[in-house]
This record gives sequence, structure tokens and C-alpha cells, in this order.
Amino acid sequence: MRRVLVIGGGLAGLTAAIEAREAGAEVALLQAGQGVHHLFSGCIDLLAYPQPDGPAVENPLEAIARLAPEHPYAKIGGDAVVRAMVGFQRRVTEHGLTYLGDGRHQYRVLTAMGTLRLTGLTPLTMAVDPAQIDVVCSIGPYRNFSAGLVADGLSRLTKKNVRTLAFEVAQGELDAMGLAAKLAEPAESARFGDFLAREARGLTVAIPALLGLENAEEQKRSIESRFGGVLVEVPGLPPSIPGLRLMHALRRIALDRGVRIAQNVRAVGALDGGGVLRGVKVRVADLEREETADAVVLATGHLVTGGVVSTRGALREPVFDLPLSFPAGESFFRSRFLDRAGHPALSCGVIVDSSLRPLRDQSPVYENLFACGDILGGFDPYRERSGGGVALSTATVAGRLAAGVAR
Amino acid sequence: MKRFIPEPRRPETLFDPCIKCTICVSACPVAQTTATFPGPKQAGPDAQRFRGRGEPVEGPWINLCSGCYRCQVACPADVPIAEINLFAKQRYAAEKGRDVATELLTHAHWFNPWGQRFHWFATPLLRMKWARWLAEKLFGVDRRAPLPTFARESFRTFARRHESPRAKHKVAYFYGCFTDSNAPEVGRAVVKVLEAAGVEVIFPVQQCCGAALIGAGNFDRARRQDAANLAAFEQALDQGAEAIVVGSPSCALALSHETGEVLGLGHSAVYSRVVDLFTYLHRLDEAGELNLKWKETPLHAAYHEACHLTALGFGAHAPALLRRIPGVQVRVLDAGCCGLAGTYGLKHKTADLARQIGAGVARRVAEWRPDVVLSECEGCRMQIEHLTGVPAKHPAEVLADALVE
Repeated sequence: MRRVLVIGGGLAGLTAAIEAREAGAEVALLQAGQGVHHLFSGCIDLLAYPQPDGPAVENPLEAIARLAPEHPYAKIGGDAVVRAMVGFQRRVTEHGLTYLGDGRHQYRVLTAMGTLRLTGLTPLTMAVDPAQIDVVCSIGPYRNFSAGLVADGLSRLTKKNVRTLAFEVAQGELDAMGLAAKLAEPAESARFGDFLAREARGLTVAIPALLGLENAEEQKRSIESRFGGVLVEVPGLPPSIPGLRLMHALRRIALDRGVRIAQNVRAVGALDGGGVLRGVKVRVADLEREETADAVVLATGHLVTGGVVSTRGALREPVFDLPLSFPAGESFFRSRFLDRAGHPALSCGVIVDSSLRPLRDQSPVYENLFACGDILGGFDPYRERSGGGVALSTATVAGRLAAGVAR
Repeated sequence: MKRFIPEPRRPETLFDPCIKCTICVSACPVAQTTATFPGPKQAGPDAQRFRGRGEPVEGPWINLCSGCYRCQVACPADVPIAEINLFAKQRYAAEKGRDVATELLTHAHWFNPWGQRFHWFATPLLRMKWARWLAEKLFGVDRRAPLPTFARESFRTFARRHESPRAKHKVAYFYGCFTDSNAPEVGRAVVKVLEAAGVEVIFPVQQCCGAALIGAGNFDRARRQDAANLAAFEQALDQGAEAIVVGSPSCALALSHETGEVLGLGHSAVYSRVVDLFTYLHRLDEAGELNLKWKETPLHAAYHEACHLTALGFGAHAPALLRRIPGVQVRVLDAGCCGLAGTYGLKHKTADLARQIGAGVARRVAEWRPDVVLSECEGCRMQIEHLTGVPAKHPAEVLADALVE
């Protein structure tokens, strides 16, 4: 059996591992930490702003077809994006997560700042038109959500008077994880449902994203049945429960399929077999060892997760020292933090061919190394709002190619 | 010629790379269960800046860290958070002392051989309600917490008379205290599987790995034990052993990482040769040398990956091997920490918290209703049996039973 090694346990790494496994390979996923799902809203953005100054696009797939050739979407093609989306939606359903969206429309999701954001695929718990929302309810003692701020922003956007409510699940200090666990207790969910029945019967109520890590949709339905209305989750500050919910589901899908996941292990170098990788050198604390494989998928992310590291005046890919794309004559960062044009450093990444193999001087560095997700160059996930979609679709292609099957 | 081996890193100095991302807090089973623990970020790298400069020592909350290592595993900046907490516990204990329960339970390796020798008395005693009530009042050992039974024959006695046949491969087996006094059947299964795989097993003289002592910040005592272990293992490597195979993840973590980094016992060739049983078998398999024959074994098993196995960085190799046995169905629980964490779940002060932490594991086991829960860690096995009533075994026991002889 072909042995595939995936480096990185984020959305891209987990997806590549599952794809390679489903394509018949023996798969090991190595991760240094546990991914940054706790920083992830849970929405899969496909593409919203392809041009720095242009308007938002309402049909992501149509816009994907018009991207410049160095964009990762352009390298794999629109069909691959559709297949990846459908595969993702099918899989996460196994673990009780419904993701809505077909790539031809944008969803508008309310944020904890009281603004709207565009996204391509949205969890069922957030998939409600913000114009329908009547009430914003805080869940105490959660500090990272102000019902007033959200209601105020929403009132301005929808020109209707949005009310606020406050519900307390616990006393003292608990973070999002603790609160979500508490609210997931059947008695607490019931108490919350009864509270809403008194205060907001039949209305559409927005709450911070604190439904449980598991069975969130079931919990949503059971609360809704008590007050006869609709509950909407609003994604907010880390740790993000919807992001972690998705990670848990993908991990369990990978483990159920027989992927071995090794954590606490950092890839540090190539086992070079002369144009072919024999595997990678890895490190746990300060002990080094080797992991061998027939193909390797690099899904280590970008600056936030160490897939790309910054040194004085330069950016570097630390595992294989792969060449990175970088527009000549530009500085890494613009002077304004929230510059509409984005920061050049964020679109700097690994240069790949149409099979997602990293290139040096236009030829593959290793014929059995594939890269996917944020580490790819040629796009800015933050500015474009395309990180989730690029991760899913390039990982789907990389996982299949690493397993030795057609994309 | 001896290869150059660098000095182990010093965890207590490595708090600076913390970027305050709080991913460790979202990974901490204790912080998610109680608000009385400030969480790994504050207890670890944040507080470490203030320690050791004559600042007053922290509160007893430092002992609420269960030592599961999940924070350290999650950290994207490689801050050894769990190990920083071990140093903080040492410092706290040096000033404020340790409670009776901690002293008693971290020295179980002193009492266990006696319990085993008088197993006909000790095992029933530990099942008597009044004795457990008394132990809780006098020693602080929770009266509901799971305690092991003592074996009729220790593994040590078995090992003394056991001759492992000469073979192509040779390993030193570190069985650990629990296998020795409480579960020798696990040790016998490990030996049976290794020998069937064409591996000669030797049993170097060994002492307790000190995992429990290290967990309580009692480094001096653990240092003496592990210095002796290192000497014995270095000798075993000189005698041609390829690896020190360990059945229990916590022992492996103590012997490969904590001995060098936490106890400061300097560099040793042993650390990188310590390997858990299933990783060793996987390596044989990758070399095309694992030719085991299985008989049909109908079994619906749930596999629980111990936190310390995760910390070792090999991942769990057991499920893939178990799935080769015809009839065996294995599903990985992936439901978090079981809560026992060595002595944490046994002490009256923290036993309730440990049970709450383990609720996620218990819920999933109850949902799946497997015939057996498999885990390499004896603490996890005791806790899961305690919380669910489903029997728990070491995966090597399933392999040994399924071998065609």
C-alpha cells in the first residue's frame, strides 16, 4: 500500500489525509500543535474580494474562473473546487454538521462586531438571513460578546429595532469552552429554551457561538422547540467553538477511516532520495527521528502556524527550504495594518505546478511532494476571503495525487 | 565510537516564545472543568516570568495541573508548558510541603511489591468499604477512586525464570511498577507478541520510572531512580538491545523526555531509543519483518489514546495493527482526557474533578457500548472501567490472544 505522510493538522492537512486515505493509501498525519481551528469562525470562505479595490463578488465560482493563472484556484480549476466542496459537505454530515452553500451564492453572516461578512459555505447554526433577526441575546458570564454592540450594528444595517436580552448560564469566570460545555447540559439547554419562550417566543434570536462542541444542531433544535423561534450563532473571538467543532468532526472522520494522527511532532527536514523524498526528519522536544513515506503532503499553513517563518528581512519555508513567491520591489508589509490591498507577505508562499508540486527554477523540487492550503503562494486568504476554500480544494487535489490516483 | 548527543533542553527557561494565543487554554481539560485553575497559560509561561526572583510562591492551584501535557502538545510556539508547571510544583512543594495522599501515592512503588506479596490480604482489603473510608480520612485517598488489584505472581518473578529465545532482533523491555505488581498478564502478553515477531526480550534491572514523583515535583527521589535506570539501559544497549520497549506511555515519557529535560540527568543515548511497544512493532512492519499470523477474534473494541502517548509524538500505532486481526473492529474514541492522570484521580482533593474531566470519554463509551476499551495506559484503563463498567485492557493482550501459536 502507498504510504502518505501529511504534515499539518489544520483544515488542509486533515482534508488531504482523509482524501488520501479514501483513495486507498496508508496515511499518517503529523502535527506540531493542534491546528488553529480555535481561531477559525467555522465558515468556509470561498472568495469574496478577488480585486483589492473591486466590489464583493456574489458568485464565487464564477469569479474563480476569472482568476490570474498563479492563483491556486486557477491551478486546480473550478471543477476541483466544486468536488472538494461536495466531498466536504458529505463527510461532515456523518458527524452531525450541516454546511450549506453551493459556491454560486454568498451567505451573509452576522459578526460579534455587529457587521456582516460574506462566506461561501456556512454551518447550519449560522445560516439565517441577518435581516430576520429580532433579538440579540448575550450568554453570561461570557465577556467576548456584547449584545448591545451587535444589536446596534444590526439595527443600523436592517433599519429595524433589534432588542437585546441577557441569559446567565453560570457564575464566576468561564471561557467559551467551559460555557459551551455548561450550556450543552440538557438541563441548561432546557432552561435557556424556557427563558426564550418567556422573553422571545417565536422570534429569531442571535446568540454568541456557544452551542456545544458536539451535537450542536440537535441542541439548536431542542432549544428552538421550546420557544418556537429560530436560534442563530454569531461567530466571535477565540477560542471559536464552531472552528473547534469542525476540527473535532474532521479528526474523528480521519481516525474512523484509519488515519494515524501524531501530535507534538515537528517536521524539520527532508530525507532526500535524489529528486524524490524518502520521508521527513522530525523532532519531538529535542529528540530527532525519521518518518518514511512514498509521498508527502505539506500543509503547514502560513506565518500564524509556522508553515512560513520570518527571519530578519526574509520569509522562509522551514521544512524543505522551498523557494517562495515574492513580488519583486515590494516591502513585506504596508504601513496600514488593515490596508485594503492586503500585505504582500501574506500572498507570499510556495510556488507550485498544476499538480501542486513545489517548484524550484520551474521544475518540481521533489516529484512526490505536494503542497496545499495557506502555504501556497499567489493568493492572500485574508484580503480575498478565500482561505477555507483554497485549503479544502487544494488539499483534496494534493491528497489524491499523493495517494497516486487521478485528481 | 559514541555519537555526539546534545544536552537536553531546559524547559523552565523556555517561557519567552509564548505568543499568548491561548490555544493551550482551549486544550486544557482542567481549565474547561473548573474555574479554580487559572489555566496553562497563566500557570505556566505567564507565572514563570515571576518565579525564582524571590517573588512569593503561588497558591495551591498549581497542584490542580494534572500533568496531562495537552497544553504542551497544543502549543504552536514549542513552549514546554507542562514541564514548566512541574518545576512550579517542585518549588511550591519545597516551600509548603506535600499532602499525605501525594506522598503516599507517588511512593506506591514502595508498597506495591508488599501488596503483591500479600495479595490474598491486600486485594480484598482495598475492596472493603470501611478500609477505603479510613484511607480517605487518614491519607486523603478518595474512597470511590479506582484502585488496582494485586497479582498472585509478580511480573518480575516471571521475568526471572523466563528465557527468551535468541532471535534476529533484541530489545530491553521496561515493564514498569503497575505491570509488575498489578497486571503481569500485560507483561506476559507483550513478551509473547515480541517473541512471536522474532524479537528476543531481555529484562534489565529496573526501578520505578518516577513518573508519579516527577508529576508531584519530587525530582530528587525520581533522579536517584532514573539514574539507576539509565545505567541499566545503557548497559542493555551495549549488549545489543536495539531499543528500550515500554508498554506504558507515562513510563516512556518519563524515561525519554522527563529524565533529561526535567530531572537534568544530562545526555544519554537511552532517550532516543525509548519507544512504545506499538511504534516498535510498526518499525518492524515497515522493514517488512512483522509476520504475525492471526486467528479469527470477534471483538468490538474502542481505543483510547492516553494523553502521554500523544505527548510522545509517535501517534497511536495500535489501532492499525489491531485492525489486521480478522473479526476485530476498532474505533478510536478521541474524546479527550480520561481525567485520572496518575495520582490526580486517586486523591480525594481532585478525584471529583478527575471524574468530571473523564465525563466525555465515559459518554462516548456509553454511546458506543464496546466489548472492551483498549489503552496502553494503566491509569486510563482503571479510570475508564471505573466510569463506565466496561472492561479495559492493554492492546497487547488482544494481540497475544489472537496469535496463532
